[in-house]
Amino acid sequence: MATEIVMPKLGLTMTEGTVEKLLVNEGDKVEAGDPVIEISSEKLTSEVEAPASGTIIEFTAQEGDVIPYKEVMAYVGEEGEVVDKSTSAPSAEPSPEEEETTENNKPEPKQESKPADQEAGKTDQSERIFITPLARKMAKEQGIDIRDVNGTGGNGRITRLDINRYTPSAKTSAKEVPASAASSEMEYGAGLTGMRKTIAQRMMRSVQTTAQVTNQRKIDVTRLMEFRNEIKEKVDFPLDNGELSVNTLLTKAVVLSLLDMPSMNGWYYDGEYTTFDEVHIGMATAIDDGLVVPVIKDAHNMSLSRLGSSIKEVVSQTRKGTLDGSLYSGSTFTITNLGGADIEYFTPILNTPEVGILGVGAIQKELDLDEQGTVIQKQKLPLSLSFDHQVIDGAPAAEFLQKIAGYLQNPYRILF
Amino acid sequence: MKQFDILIIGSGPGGYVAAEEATRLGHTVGVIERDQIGGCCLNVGCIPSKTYLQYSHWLNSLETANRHGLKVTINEIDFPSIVKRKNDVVSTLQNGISSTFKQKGIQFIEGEATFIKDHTFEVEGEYYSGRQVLLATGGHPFVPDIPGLQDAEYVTTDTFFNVDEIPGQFVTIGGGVIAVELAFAMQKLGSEVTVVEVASDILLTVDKDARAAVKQKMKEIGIEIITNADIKEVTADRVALSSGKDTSYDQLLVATGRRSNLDIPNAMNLSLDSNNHFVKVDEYYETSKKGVYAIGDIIGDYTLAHAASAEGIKAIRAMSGHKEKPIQPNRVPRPVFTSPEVSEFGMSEEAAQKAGYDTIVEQMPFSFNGRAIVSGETEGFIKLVTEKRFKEILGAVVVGENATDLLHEIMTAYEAEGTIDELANTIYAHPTVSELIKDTSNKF
Repeated sequence: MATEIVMPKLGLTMTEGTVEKLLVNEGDKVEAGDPVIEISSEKLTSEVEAPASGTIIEFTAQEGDVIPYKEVMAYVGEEGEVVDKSTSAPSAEPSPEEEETTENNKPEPKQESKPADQEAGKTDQSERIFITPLARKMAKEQGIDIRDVNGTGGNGRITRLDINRYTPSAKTSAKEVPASAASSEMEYGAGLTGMRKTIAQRMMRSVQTTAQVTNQRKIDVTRLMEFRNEIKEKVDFPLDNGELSVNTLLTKAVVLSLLDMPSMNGWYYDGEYTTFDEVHIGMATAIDDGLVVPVIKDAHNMSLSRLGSSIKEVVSQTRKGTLDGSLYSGSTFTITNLGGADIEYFTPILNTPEVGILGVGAIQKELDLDEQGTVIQKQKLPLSLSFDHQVIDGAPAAEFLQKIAGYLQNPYRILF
Repeated sequence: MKQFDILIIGSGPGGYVAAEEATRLGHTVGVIERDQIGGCCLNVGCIPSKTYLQYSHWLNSLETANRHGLKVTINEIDFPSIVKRKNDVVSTLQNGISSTFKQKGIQFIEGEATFIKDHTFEVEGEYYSGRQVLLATGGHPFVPDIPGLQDAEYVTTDTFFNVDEIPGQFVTIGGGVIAVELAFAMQKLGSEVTVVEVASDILLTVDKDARAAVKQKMKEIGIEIITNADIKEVTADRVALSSGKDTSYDQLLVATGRRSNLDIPNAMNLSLDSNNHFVKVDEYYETSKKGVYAIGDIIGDYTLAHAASAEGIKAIRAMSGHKEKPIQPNRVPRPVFTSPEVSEFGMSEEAAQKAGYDTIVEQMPFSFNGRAIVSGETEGFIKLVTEKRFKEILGAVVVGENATDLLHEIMTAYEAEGTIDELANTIYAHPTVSELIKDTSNKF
């Protein structure tokens, strides 16, 4: 029986593709894996390979045709074979039954004809996907293709947590990548599994799709630390919800600075630069098996104490694995803190599509001279701001750091 | 001074399980214990109480058999033999831990640990230090301030198991899990038991339907329950209530909760929780002092042996650089070994609703189950808490014979992120009690 060659899906949002070029002729003999049709979708082009060895019996699509995803473009089979097309009614979207079949690993002949590995990060269909029953139901409800999800459970199993943390890569879509880079993108995370693979893919997409520059400077926080001790002494209830941690005070300063300078509080992707009035802070958090960026939603509406307890709660829930799925994405600016590890400066990688990320180092004690020339001790906080030079220039980025400095050096301004 | 990679204080189910995990990961380990190896659980808790409860269980079975044509008479309850058996069970398990320690090269240090500085402790003149320290010092019975109690002869769980004759009248002050379990044991062994509870009800931490089933049974076998008790005073032979009611006793057990052993954490100046009841730890069980970890009763949450063991393993892994997510309270089973047995895990219906789930609850009685009818053990039920969207398993309550063992089956599905559908679609052997899990699942 003849095998179909169908239009593959090159990206999450792709619904149809264009037949650019027929690479072989009807009647040609092909081996499984030989390129037979070149197709394109928006900025991506790709070669469709023969799913089986045999003879090209018929092309049902011609060069220049726009073909919906999954529709047949050609048949490969025995020479002289007549194709029975009645069994292969094309559908634009996979029906739930078909998805179920894929998941249950009972591939129908039709699916075998779908070129494997056309999409970045996809697991080969012949490979069994381990997924918990609950995660499967959640993925189905949210329309997530489980082949896109990297499992972090035992045996690489996809768990509820993986579905919760999953953010479609459409945001940092392949569309941004020039056609020539498409093939290399498929390699991202190769040989890695689980969370490591996700991190590898995101980091590579970030550096490949942005023009990252890092500005570094120290901010004098001597007054801030005095202010902090003063409040601690004068407030007669325990401040043990992180209200006055350096991280909270800094986050507050960042939020205020983002409100002052919305150009840093934006997303750039798909050729569109959007800035936001709301500030949702991504808080890079090391967890047992890697790194995630949970989100403090609506940080612009929070008092210092609420911000402190929110950060504490979100970070704690992230470490416990109990954080709500909606809080793993949607940040507008990210803060990453390596101060605990005594790092001073580093070059944080943008959490795309965001245009800025602030790296926080360990407070340094330095000697300085006061106005009378007396030696005094100062405390300085090293900051590293990475920004996307596609949309932000060096000077405005420096101005943003200056704004943060302004708040931290005049701590009473943070209170309002 | 003897130096270890990991120094553990306390050899209860938290400490000894942690010690084994530590050697498995290649560490040198010392375990300090001021009392008996195995801690409260093995010596004055779970194990001795279950040994006594086994007798009440056998007696129940004999009564059931008697009702159904197998005429047996109990000639004598030989309590000294029962106590001896309890002691034998305890020493068998103690020896098990001791030989595991020897086999794995874990040094067992007997004596009271005194904090010296940093990670160094003194035990009977010797100094011991760990590159990292795990505190698993457990807890002790809390004795409330009741007029006359200090002068009365009472026992706590620490001393109850030394009692060598069956008291005629056995009174417990307290109606929590420990008190109620021992009430069941002693009533069946021949005591007349009264449970005196200050709160509005006994077993307040237990599911209300389960509580009702247990209370029903207590009444049936003749245990008197006094709730909302206002204890005026305790004398040498009675508990006087302000209601005018007096309850006389031959043996008085005070089982009114437990408190953490915080001497060492306090000496080390570790941060405590806001009520100063428990040691404060982070998600990886590290205390406010770097390299010092704490698990078990001293950190609160569920003060259960199996929770301490699970925490111990995670703490050791975190110390070894493999940080894991902390244990979630929802994943800890909560058994009460009464007859019928009660076991729960996860969320109650109310908690699930509060958490925003579109909750559904189904329940089926043991009396619908063929095997339960065969064995004559038809008391109890299975209750499953789930939600409409994914039919996620949110919690379960099992009341009845072997409830905790049945619960584990549901928990295994839960742990593997199975849903009610997986419970319903599993083929169960017939006739079994666990078929009732499938039947309850099929109701959704």
